[in-house]
Amino acid sequence: MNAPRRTLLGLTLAACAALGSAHAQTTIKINGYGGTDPAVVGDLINRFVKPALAKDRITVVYEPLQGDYNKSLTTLLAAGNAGDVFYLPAETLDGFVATGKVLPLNGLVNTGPFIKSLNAAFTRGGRLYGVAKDFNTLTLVYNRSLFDEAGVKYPDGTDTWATLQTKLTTLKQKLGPDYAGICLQPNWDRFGAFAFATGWTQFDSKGRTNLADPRFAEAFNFYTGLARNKVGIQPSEVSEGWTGGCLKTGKVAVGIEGNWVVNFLRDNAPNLKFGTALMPKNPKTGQRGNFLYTVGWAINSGTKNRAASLKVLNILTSPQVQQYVLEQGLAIPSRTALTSNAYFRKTDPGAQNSRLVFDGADDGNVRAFTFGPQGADWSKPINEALAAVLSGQKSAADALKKAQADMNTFQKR
Amino acid sequence: MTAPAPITPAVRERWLARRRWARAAWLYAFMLVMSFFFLGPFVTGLLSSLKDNPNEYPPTLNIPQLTPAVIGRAWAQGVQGSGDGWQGGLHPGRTVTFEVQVQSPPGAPQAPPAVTLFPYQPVSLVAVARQAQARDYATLDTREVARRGDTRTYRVTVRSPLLTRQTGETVRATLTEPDTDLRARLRNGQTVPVRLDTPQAQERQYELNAGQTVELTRGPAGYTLRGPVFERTPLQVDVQRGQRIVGSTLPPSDRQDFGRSFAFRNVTPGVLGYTFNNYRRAFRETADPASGRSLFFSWVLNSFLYAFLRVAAAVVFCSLAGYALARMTFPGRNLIFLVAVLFVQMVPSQVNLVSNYVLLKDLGLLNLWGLWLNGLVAAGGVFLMKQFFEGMPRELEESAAIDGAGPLTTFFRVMLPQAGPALIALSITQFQGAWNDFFWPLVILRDNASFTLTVGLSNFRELYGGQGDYGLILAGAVLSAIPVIVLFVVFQRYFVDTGADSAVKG
Repeated sequence: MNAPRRTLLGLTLAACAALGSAHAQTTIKINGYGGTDPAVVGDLINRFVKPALAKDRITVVYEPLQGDYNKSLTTLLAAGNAGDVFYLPAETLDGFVATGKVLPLNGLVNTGPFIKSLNAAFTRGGRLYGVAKDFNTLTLVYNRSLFDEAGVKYPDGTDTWATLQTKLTTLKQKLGPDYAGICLQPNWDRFGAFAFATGWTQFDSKGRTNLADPRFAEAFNFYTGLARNKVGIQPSEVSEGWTGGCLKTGKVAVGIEGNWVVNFLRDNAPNLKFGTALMPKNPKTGQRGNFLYTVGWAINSGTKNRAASLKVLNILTSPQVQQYVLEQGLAIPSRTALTSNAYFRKTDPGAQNSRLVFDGADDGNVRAFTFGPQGADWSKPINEALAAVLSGQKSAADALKKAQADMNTFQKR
Repeated sequence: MTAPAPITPAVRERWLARRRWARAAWLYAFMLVMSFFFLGPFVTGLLSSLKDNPNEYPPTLNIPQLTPAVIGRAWAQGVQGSGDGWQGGLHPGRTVTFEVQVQSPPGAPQAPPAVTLFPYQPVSLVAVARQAQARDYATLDTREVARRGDTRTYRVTVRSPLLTRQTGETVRATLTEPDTDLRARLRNGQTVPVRLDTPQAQERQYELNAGQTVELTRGPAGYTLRGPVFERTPLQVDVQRGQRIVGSTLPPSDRQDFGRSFAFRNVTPGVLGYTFNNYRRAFRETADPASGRSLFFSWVLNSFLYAFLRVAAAVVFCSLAGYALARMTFPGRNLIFLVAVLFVQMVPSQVNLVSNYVLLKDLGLLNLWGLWLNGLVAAGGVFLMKQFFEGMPRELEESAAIDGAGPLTTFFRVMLPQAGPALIALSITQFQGAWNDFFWPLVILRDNASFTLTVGLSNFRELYGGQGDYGLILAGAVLSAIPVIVLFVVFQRYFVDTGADSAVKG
């Protein structure tokens, strides 16, 4: 079949679908996260989607997948039972793309207004598989009281790794054994940002990961070196499960977290006085490193209502919806135009954090948070190495050697 | 070297007595250790679920939520704020006082503390619409009322304004979805228009969301808005460097800034809002956006319904099948027993996941009824009943047959009434199994409101666990453990005995 005829056929099909949806009631099913998302998306559907689509006789239902979203979605896609539109987490994108069940959106959606790095996070081999719903990056969230008490200047956008380390060490010396400078999760999902700052890349052209790279070692040594003299501690050392918990205790000065920590602190440490700074720069490259955590809206390639699904997707990523989501403090929008939104100019700590999370998306070496095609186990060797060094069981050199060996075994699987 | 003492009967008796005591001591020690292991987690969970910070380390047993004096003050604060010592809250037109003692040694700043109200509404499982916050309405006034040495007592007065000038009967209502005017649903289900008769009230028209609890005044001019009902009155007290907060009416829920900043998440808690805060939250903060009903409550009901259905089905089908397999002779009996009872028990239920799921999906039964159908006949229950009926004396049936009873009459009138203990054992295990069932409900149930408690709780965990709101998770877990504990405590004595032994005289 030649190209024009294929286009013609496509158009006819689309027209048929559109006609079909105009005559009969069409139901578009959306799959997404559980938790608060049913309320949020339900609200969006009621406020924006339903009024816009009422005349097309399209109804939209949200079906949350409880528990492990990726597993549930895999099951539903395999059973041909998944929603017409669904959340597509960027970190597991590769696995879903490989199934061929995600519709490439090139030519169907205008991606111009969205942040470029977000589009890149959903692009594989030139095909775009999702439109970013919202996103998060990492920032330094700090406890102002501890810095005030120690008489140390707050972290700020000019800090490099070295100046940050000096600030934290001084703070620890002034405040004594009950307090700590920074909370370090033994995890790729925080540490990776530092590795990116050195210019290290997660995968080389052959898809291999090189942990023996001196740039990786530099980041690894800095991150684990922060733990020296208990300047940096792991969350478990203050009987908490994550960095947000560390901050809550009021005993740890800095945490590396995204915008989600704001709501957590408001609920769990309402009188904590916190501020936010951009991630520190690597002294050699002068660049910051950061992760882009994002979830996109994607369309099921097996949907019977492609046209209607596209309409729903376009409404859910429209400027009005994103503005609403931003102003409700629910998420950071993915449209560049919203950078001038009044919300970002507010002075309360939550709004300031939002602004820096937004700014972080295109400052320095920002990479999508992903584990690659082999899934979340990819990060295990790194996490184990971090945990071993942070808890003092191994030297950094030994841990890196073992991590590289484990990584090679894993990638040969 | 002395000769061994002769073993007299008295010595022997003493030795035996010591042995008996030693044995009793071992037994009790063993039971204490075991009960510590089994009850310890439950008690710890129960205590932690009451605390402001369930992660507290090292954990303390001396918690203010269980201290009578503090509970008494929580009651009194609740009465001040709302007239209700149980639920607490801050109602329109009420005034609440709260005292803080601040120590300001010589040389330190002598200024009064900075007191503010702050917004506090925890992110909930299903976001309840934003509730009105006391900070946006109430006024604060801080005054020194006593001084002893370098410690001063400050009295903070929180005044919640009245937004109407009309007098009349006060009624409670919930705001409904806004249209051209404000409307509210009264307790009796009637929806009435609400008038805003003062400029202060009119300012608030667009700030109040649907679902907000309000007080109205019913008077000659119809219903006017008295003001929103605040569930909490969150208060924050900050002192300066050198000063110290040494006491307050209620203990603080959060301390920051080297003990110079105290947050009280609710200074009008009432007893339920103080000691059982997380339990109340479990019910209140899980509203279904569609119906406004408490999801946690629906999950409890669903769990009970599912457990009841499972027990009923097991009692009927397992006893019938068990009796047939034990006492009836028909071709293929052993084959049925081997395949349908023994073999089925050997296959883990996960193996049937795909086939059963697809079947139930095609039948349109991805709901509680499908769940019931999936576990309708328990092979283990059939086995239990079969073994039980085999142990019953045949003479009972023979005498029934002599009296002219057919198989059905024999079963229902003679055998089944004797099967009490087995049925109770079956019911308890089935109830417990259904109540704790997680795998199949997780697979089959899709809709928030149709979850059973186990799946709902995992939802709690997912949302709050990552964020550390363990108080709520623990409260849910303790609540879900209670029915099973009650069931065992009440019914365990029926496990023991049957009257059948005495039915046959030699």
